[in-house]
Amino acid sequence: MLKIEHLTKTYRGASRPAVDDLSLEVASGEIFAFIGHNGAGKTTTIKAVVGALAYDGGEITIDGHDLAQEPLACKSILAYIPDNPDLYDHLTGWQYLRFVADIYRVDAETRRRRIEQYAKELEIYDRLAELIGGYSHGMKQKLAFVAAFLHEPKLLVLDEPFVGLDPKAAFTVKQMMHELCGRGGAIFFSTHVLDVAEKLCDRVAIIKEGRLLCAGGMHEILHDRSLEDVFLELVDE
Amino acid sequence: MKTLFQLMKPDLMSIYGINRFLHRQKGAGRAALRPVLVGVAVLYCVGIYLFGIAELLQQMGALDVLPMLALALSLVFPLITTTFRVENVLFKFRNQDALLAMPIPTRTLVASRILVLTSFDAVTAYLVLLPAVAVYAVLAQPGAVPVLCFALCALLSPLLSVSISAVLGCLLLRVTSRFMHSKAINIIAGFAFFGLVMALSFSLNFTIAQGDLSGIAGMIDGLAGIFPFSLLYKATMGGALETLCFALLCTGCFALSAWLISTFYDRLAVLLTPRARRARGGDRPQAVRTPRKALICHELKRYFAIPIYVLNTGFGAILMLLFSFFLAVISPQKLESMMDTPMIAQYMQTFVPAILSLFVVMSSTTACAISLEGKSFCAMRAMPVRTAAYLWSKIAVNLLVTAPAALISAAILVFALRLPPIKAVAALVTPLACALFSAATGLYFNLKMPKLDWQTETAVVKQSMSVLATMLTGFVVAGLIFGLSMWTGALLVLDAALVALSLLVQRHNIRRGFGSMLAKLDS
Repeated sequence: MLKIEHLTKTYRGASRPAVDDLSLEVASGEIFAFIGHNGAGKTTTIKAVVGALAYDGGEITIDGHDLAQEPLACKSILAYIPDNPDLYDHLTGWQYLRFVADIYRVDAETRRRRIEQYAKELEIYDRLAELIGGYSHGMKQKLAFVAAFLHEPKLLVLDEPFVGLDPKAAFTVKQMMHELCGRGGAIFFSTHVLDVAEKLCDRVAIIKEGRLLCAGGMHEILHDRSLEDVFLELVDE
Repeated sequence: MKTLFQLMKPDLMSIYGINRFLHRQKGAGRAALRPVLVGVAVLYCVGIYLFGIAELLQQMGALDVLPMLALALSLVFPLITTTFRVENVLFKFRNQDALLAMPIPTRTLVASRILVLTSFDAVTAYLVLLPAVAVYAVLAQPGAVPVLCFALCALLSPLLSVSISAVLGCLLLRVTSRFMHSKAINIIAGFAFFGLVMALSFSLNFTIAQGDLSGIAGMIDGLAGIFPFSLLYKATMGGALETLCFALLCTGCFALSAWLISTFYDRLAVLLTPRARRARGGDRPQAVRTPRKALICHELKRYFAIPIYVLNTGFGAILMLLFSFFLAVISPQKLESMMDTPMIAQYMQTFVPAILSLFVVMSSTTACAISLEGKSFCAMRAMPVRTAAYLWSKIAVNLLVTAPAALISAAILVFALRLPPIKAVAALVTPLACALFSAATGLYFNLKMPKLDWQTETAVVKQSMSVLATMLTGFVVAGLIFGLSMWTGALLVLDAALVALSLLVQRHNIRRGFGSMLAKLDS
C-alpha cells in the first residue's frame, strides 16, 4: 500500500539530512509503527508521505501511484492526522466535517451515516454543533479521527495519534484502526508509546538521525524481548 | 521590572523576527537589509510629506505647532487600530495558559501584554514621529532643548495612546462578549469607529480645501488648548517641566491601565473563551458541495471570523460605497459650490475609475490569506485539492469582497455624474481589473513571503511584508490609472493589460505552487 524508497530530505541550512536514504514498505491490512527519539525524522517522513513536504530524493508510492507524479490520486486515498490537530477554530464540528467531506467528494448519505457512526463511537456527536475553538485537545483529536474516516481511506497516516485521547477513546480508535485494516487498508503511524506499538502493530521500523535502524515484523524484531528493550538497545548503539 | 522584561522578550524576538534573523545561517545580511531598506524608504516618503505640511504651517506662521500635531496624530490613530487588537494580544496569545500557570502576578502579565501591544504601534508612530522631529529641527531650528523635549515626548507617546486603547478595547470586549455574534458586533463597531474618524478627517480636509486658513488656525489653537495637547504644545516648545509631566502622564497611564485591566483580566479571559455555541439549523444538513465551492465557502467563513482581517481589507470597499452614495446625494453643482471649486464635476468624471481603483487596491484579502492558514496549512496540503483550485478560491474571496462594492459604486457614479458611455465602461471595468490584479499580486507576495508561525492574527494581517508589498504595488497601479485618466482609450488598454498580467501572475503562482514557499519555510 505504501512504499518509500531511498527517501532523502535535508532542511535548508541543516548540517545533516533529516531523513537519509530511508526505504520501507507497508502492506495492505498492516498496522505499521514508526518509532524513534525526538528529532529522528519521523514527522519529516510522515509529512513527505502525505504530500505536505517536498523531499529531495527518493520515491513514495501509495497504492501504486507515485506521489510526485500523481499527488491528487495519492491524497484522495489517504488520510492524515497531525500530532497537534490544529483544526479550524472558527468552524463548528459540523462545518469542519462538511468541508472535509466536500473535499473528498463523499456523498450525502454516506457522510451522514459515517459521521453518525464514528462521532457517536467517539462520543463527540452531541458536541459537533460547537465551535472547534472551544474543544479540548482530545476532542479535536477525536474530530480529526472522524474526519479522517469519512472517506474510508486506504492508507491512514498518523503522527502520535493517542496523545490527548481518553482511555475509552483510545480503545475505540484502536478498534477503528483494526476495522480499517480488516477492510484491506493500511496504517502507518509514529508513536512514542512503545507498549501501544508493541500490542497494536504488525510491523515496526526504528529510525535514528534520519536513518533506518531496523524494520520488520514485530515478532521477528522482538525475539521474546520488549519493544522498549530493543529500541533502547538500538538507539544507544 | 526584570520579570516584565523576561515576559516581553520572547514576544518581541518573534514579532520582529529578530531571533530567526540571529539564528539564520545563510543570507542573513540580505534578510536584514530588506526591512531596513523598506523602513528607510517609508521614512523618506513620510519626511517629504511632512516637509510639505511644515512649509504650509510656516507660511501660516504656525510652524511651532508641527510637533504637537505630529504627536496628536500618533496619539489618536492607535485609538482606532489598537482597540481592535486587544483581544488577540491580551487574551488570545499562544502560550497564555502556560504563563497564567506560572507564579507571575496578573498585573505584571497584563503590563507585559500592553507593552507588546505598544510595540506593534510604536513602529508606526515612530515612522511618523522620527521624520517630524527631523523636519522640525531643520525648518524651525529651535535649538537643542525643544528638539530633545520633542524627541522624548515622541518616544513615550505610544505608551499613552496604547494604554488608553487597551482599556477601551477591554470595555468593548466586555460588552460584546455578552452577545452571540460578538465578532460581527466587533466588525460593525470597528467600521463605525473608522467612519467617525473619516467624517472628522473629511470635515478638516473640506475646511482646508475651502482655503479657510483662519479656520485651520482656529482649529489648531483650539487643539493646543485641550489637555493633553496643551501639555504637549508647551513641552515641545522646550518646557522641561511640561516634558517631565508628559513623561509621567505616559508612564502613569500605563501603570494605571495595567492595574485596572488586571482587576478583571481573569473574568474577562473566561468570558472570551470560545463559548459553547449551538449551531443554527443550517449547520447540520450535510448537503454536498463541489470541492471548489467548499473551498470558497471555507475561505469566506475564515474571512468573516477574523474581525481585524475584515476591518483591514473591507474598509476600502466601505469607503468606496460611502464615496459613491455621497456623490449621489450631493449633486455635482452643489459639490462645486460647497468646495468653491469650478469644474469639480468634470474632474470627478475623469477620475472616477482611478478613485474607485484606489479603494479597491486597499482591499486585497489575498496578501495574507495563505499565512492565515497557520499550522493547519500542513493538514490542508495533505488533502486532495489542486493547487489551482486552492489559489483560485482565495482570489474568489477577494473578488467577492471588492467586485460587488466596485460595481455598485461605479453604477451609482455613472448615473450621479452622468458619465458618457466610454467613461462609464472605464468606470465599471477599471476597478474590476484592479481587483483581479491586486488579488493575484497579493497571492504572489504571500507565496514569496509567507508567515505561518504567527502568534496572533494581527501579526499577519497588519505586519506582513506581503501585505505591505501588495499595497505598494496596488498604489503604483492606481497612480498609473490616475496618470492615464485623461485618455479613456489608453485606460481601457491598461485594463486589458492588467487582466492579462493578473492571469499571468496567477498562472505563475499555480505553476510555482508551494515548492519555493515550503523551501523558504524549511530554512
